[in-house]
Amino acid sequence: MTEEDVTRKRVREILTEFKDHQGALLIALLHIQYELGYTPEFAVEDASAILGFSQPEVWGVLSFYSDFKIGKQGDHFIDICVDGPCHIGGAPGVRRALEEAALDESNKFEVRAISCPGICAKAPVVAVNMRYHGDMTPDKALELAAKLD
Amino acid sequence: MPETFTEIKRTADATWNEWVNNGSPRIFVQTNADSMASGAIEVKEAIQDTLDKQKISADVTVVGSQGMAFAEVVVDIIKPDKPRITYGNVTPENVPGLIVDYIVKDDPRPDLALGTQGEGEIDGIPLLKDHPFWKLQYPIVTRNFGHIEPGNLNHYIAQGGYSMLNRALEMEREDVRKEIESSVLRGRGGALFPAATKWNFMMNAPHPKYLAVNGEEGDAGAFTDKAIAENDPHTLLEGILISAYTMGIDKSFVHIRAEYLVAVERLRRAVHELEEANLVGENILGTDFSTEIEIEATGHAYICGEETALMDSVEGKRGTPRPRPPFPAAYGIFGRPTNINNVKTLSYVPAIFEHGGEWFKSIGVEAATGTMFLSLSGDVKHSGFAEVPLGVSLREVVEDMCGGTKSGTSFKGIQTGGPLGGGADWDSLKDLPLEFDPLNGLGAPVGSGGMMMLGQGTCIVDLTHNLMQFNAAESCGKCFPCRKGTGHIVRTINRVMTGLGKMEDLDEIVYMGDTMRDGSLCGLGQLAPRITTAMLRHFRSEWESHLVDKTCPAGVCGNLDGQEITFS
Ligand SMILES: Cc1cc2nc3c(=O)[nH]c(=O)nc-3n(C[C@H](O)[C@H](O)[C@H](O)COP(=O)(O)O)c2cc1C
Ligand code: FES
Repeated sequence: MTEEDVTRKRVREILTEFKDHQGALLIALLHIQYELGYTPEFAVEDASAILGFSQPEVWGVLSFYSDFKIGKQGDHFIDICVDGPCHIGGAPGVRRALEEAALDESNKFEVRAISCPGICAKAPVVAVNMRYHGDMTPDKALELAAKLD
Repeated sequence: MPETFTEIKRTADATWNEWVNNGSPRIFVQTNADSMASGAIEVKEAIQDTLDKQKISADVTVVGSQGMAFAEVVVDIIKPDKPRITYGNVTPENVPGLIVDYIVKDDPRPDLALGTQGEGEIDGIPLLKDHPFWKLQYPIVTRNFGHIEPGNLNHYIAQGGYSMLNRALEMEREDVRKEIESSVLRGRGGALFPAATKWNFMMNAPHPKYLAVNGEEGDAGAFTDKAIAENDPHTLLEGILISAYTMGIDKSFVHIRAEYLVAVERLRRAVHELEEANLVGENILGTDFSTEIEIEATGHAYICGEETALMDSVEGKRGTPRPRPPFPAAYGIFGRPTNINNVKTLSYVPAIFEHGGEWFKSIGVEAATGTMFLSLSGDVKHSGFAEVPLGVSLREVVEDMCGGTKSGTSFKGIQTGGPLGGGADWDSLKDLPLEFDPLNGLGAPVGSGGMMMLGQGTCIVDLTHNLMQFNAAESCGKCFPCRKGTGHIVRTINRVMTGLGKMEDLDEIVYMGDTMRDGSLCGLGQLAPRITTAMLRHFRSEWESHLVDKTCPAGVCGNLDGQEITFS
């Protein structure tokens, strides 16, 4: 099985697991997002087939909640919060540094903007593969990125 | 035969006493999502490692955070018969030294200590309650933070928890409601509606009826609902149960963002322990009261904090607001009567019920009773969360408790109440009390307690642009004034920031805002322009510098030469 086959099998398992839940569509999709760190595009087709929603309905939910990041462009994810407290705390500089580094290191990691995860007292905040790190500076962020393999 | 509350309490007290008096040093690691972002997990591992290597026997416990994000990772050590010492800025590197010095060599390391807590004193270490961050505080909803293992039912009960539920169950529902009503507790979700008055609409509503617990907390810069769920979930759950009993609720949905991983996990653990103890479910404590609690880990969308949108979200759909009426009390979740309260509002209920409405009123001021649980972020030395009595002076909050700016510059102002809130300059704010009406009048509503402190290095135009961009992104798109208006204001501010703006743009922003306020379907569109209006009102000269002198006083907008830059 290719990597994609394994992922797809898992996605279908999750969807099936939540089939009978109240509010299944959102819960199952969130589960996929937080387990994989992203939402594969084929989840739309699968959710539609397994949970009985039209594909536009599934897209409707995916595009509405800021949790969902469709597709995957790198081996790792570095998410940076771009909301108020992080913004004035220096998030734009951290983001620029990371994005430049990501270009140099094609595909090692993907930099994604996220909405406030409530760690504003430690702004600016990044999450490396969904683990949060606070009080970021461009240098500290690059150090975290350099540790990825 | 289910256990009586007396039996449950006896077991809890015994477990607690055994833990407290086990004769070995106890080490607390204050752990929540914030301290984990500063390495709390690594610190805990380093502590365990040091204990193993040095063959020291000590008990290591994860407790909640006391809100001192500025000093995290925070670790406490309690040696038998000694007061608890709270240490700040603990790292995996300084852990071995600290453990060996204090536990083995009996040197309490005043250099790392923030203060002592509880009875007794230690030479060279001040009392934590005298720390500027603590002097103003009055812990009610935060009373257990840092003192118990979050979600541990025995710990919570040993602190007196659930005895108020037990008492309520023996009372008439209306009497419970009246006690809460007498406190004039106003909703902490932002709209400030008196909580127990709202409950009135539910008392005689037909079954099944629901309670939606609003923990969406989508506004950037607010994190106190998360703090309660992470650091003492049982206080919230007891508040839910007392409220559910009062209104005769069949099921409560705790709506909390799935990405609050720690909060969701601890809430789930807490509910599970409640189920085991028959404190939730069928015939609670042998009475004829049955109710359920479900932890709903949902998606992140600001608009889902709006009460009608929240109900869609509980049903698993996109959360789009519905016009009211019908009000949720008549037609809510799955079409059933539903009451909606914020996490903080409900978390006050057990303490109010214990000490009485008069007590709660005596803490704040007449128009704003009790405490406010503040989220402190931005350019501030003491960032974190803090619970202070309403009515205290903002000068004390900002200059003493917060310790000034982190950057060392003077205060420029405060952005309050999240992106739908507002803000004001420090000169207008500094002589005011922390109270709802005066701040509202200034265009800086307290909202749910988010306070973003602004130093001289923050550009108001750039910040307003960021907040308005947030509002635009969060607009659900259903109604025209909000969908178009937010985007239009963002583009107009963008012109100001890039040197392409004209003075008339400022009038245009105000005019657009008025249209949105009057024409939008829900609170998001109606409130979104508040931030621009307030920032224009209080910081006009900063906007004019951008437009007339083509300079950014804070030096943030580097690009005022008329080149449009694109923002993503
Ligand atoms: C756009 C918008 C977002 C809101 N977000 C929240 C929120 O995140 N949490 C919250 O408790 N209330 C939020 N509210 C207020 C709720 O609609 C509602 O008034 C509140 O949950 C009622 O609880 P309370 O009376 O206990 O404050 C929001 C309102 C609007 C218009
Ligand atoms: S604004 Fe970035 S964590 Fe809240």
